[in-house]
Order: sequence, then C-alpha cells, then structure tokens
Amino acid sequence: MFPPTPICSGESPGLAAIALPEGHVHVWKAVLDVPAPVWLNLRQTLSAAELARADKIISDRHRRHFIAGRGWLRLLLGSYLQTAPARIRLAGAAHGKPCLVTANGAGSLRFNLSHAHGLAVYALARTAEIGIDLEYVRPDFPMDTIAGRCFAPAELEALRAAPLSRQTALFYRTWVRKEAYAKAVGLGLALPFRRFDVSGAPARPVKDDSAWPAGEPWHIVDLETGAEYAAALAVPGRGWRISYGSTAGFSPAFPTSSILT
Amino acid sequence: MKEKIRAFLSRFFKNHSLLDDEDIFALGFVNSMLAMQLVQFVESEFGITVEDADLDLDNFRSINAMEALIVRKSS
Repeated sequence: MFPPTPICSGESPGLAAIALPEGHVHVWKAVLDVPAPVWLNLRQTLSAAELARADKIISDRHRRHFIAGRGWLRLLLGSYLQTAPARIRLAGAAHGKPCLVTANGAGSLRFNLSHAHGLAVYALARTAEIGIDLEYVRPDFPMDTIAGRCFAPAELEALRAAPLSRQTALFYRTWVRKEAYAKAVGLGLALPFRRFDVSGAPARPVKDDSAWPAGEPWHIVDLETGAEYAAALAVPGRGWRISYGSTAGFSPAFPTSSILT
Repeated sequence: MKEKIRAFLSRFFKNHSLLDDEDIFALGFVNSMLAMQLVQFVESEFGITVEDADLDLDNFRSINAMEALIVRKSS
C-alpha cells in the first residue's frame, strides 16, 4: 500500500519518495480548493508558461483550480522522480496529452490527469500509456444529443434502455470511460468516439472498430468518486495492480487497492 | 454568423466580451464535453455536418475558427 507518508503535511508540501514498480498504476485524487498557504506553495512549483496560461483564465475560481491542479501534479511527479517539482519540465504531446521532458528517469514514468469542479485525479505508471478522465455530473447537460453523436450503438442502446432515474449516471459513466480510453491512446477527441464501445467495461475490454490501436485490448477501471462525479481509468492489457491515494489532509474516497486480473 | 456564435458562447463566458480571435480553450471553462456541445451547436444552427476529420479543437478554438469551419462545410 502507499503512500508511506503524506506528500503534503499541513502548510508545507514535502517530497516523500514514492516507489512505483512495473505493473502498478497509482491513482491519486486531489482537492483543488486548498488553504491559501498550501495554494501558494503549489503555485511556486509552476513554470512561467503555466503561470502565463493561468493568467489567461478569466474566472478566479478556475484559475485557482488550474494552479492547484498543476501544483499537485508537479508535487506528485517530484515525489516519484525525487526531483524538485519546479524543475520538472512538462510538454504537451500530440493532441495535447501532457508528458515529461526532463531527465532523471522521466522516460519511464507516464501520467495522465483530469480535473473538474474543484477535484483532480492523476494516474501514474512506469512504462505504459494510461488515460484517466473525471467529470462533474450536471443533470441539465444535453445528454441525448451528445450521446447520439458520440456513443457507439451498444452504448446508446444501453443508455436508452436504462430507467430515467439512472440515465444521467450511465451517460457520465460511459463518457468518462470513453474519454479515458481516448486519452490513453493519446488521441483525445480526434479518436472517432462512435467507433469504440465501452459498454461491456469493466468486465470486457474496449471494443474498437477504428484503425486504432492494434495490440492487446485496452481495459477500463471505473473509479469510485461519489455521485457528484464520474471517473474512469484506461489501461493496456490486464494484470495491473491499482492503488489509490489522496493528497494528505483530505479523506481518501477511493478504495485502497485492487488488482485488475 | 459571428453574433450567433458569440451569443451561444456567452453562456459559458459570462461577464466576458469575447473577441473574434480569442482562444476560448485558453480562457478556462471549455472541456471536451462542452466542446462537443459546440459541435452540436454549429451543426444544428448552421445546418452543416461536422465529420470526424473536422473534430480538431483548432476548428473550435475561436469565433473566427468556427466561422471558417462553417463556411468551409457549407460550400
């Protein structure tokens, strides 16, 4: 189980080393509304480019969340790489998936992140590309039209067959599974969403009729986030040991560990 | 056309006068689900079909970019 110690103790974020063996995925949750001293510490880790990006965000609340989310990411990466968070270099790969460009073993650390409505989730693995998505559930979202455009036939059928009271939850569950997969393969919205099917997940692999990807089937893990959010993780193949953690000072809402066999 | 796009976007950018070439993804708010709403909006409002190949965020990055896409798909 991990982490051995909190990565953030009180008002001073620290950098406890976290080991991440091959075959493991670590999933972290972070609350983005943090006390001002913590936020300032997180902010200090951001690059000039990230701060410039933050400056363009017009909502104060969103700007604060973006900064906290990036700060937690850097703190986490620093803990795994044993590198000062501010020295970590991040870049956007094709289709915007962020990745590491620093030395110190960064080549063998993959990550993905997502944030929504004051919450962020992060997934980290040694060598495998992974994807994670988090959405805040908005019952007034125009689900029918978006599902009609983006869902595979079996997904659409399952949504329409579900009782009305469960349709919102099922829509979001399906969406985050699809986006986690699209992010895992690094294509995001450029992947034709209608052409892959996650309705059998998590028991069955993603069924992808598009040209991408060859190789072993991808699997989805639904993440427990409470009714206000939906979240999912996509991993290549099976046999992953998945552990869950929460930035310190906040109660973990995830189960601690599970094995995807 | 631009005013219709601007009016639709104003629901996401309250209290902000959106410029024609302003990057809406840089302003916050817009995530992938909202991007799909934009796709849906331009299809229904302007009677075009956005193909999978057009699902590039750059086509929806600004009022100008959306207008260019609509013009291209209408021709």
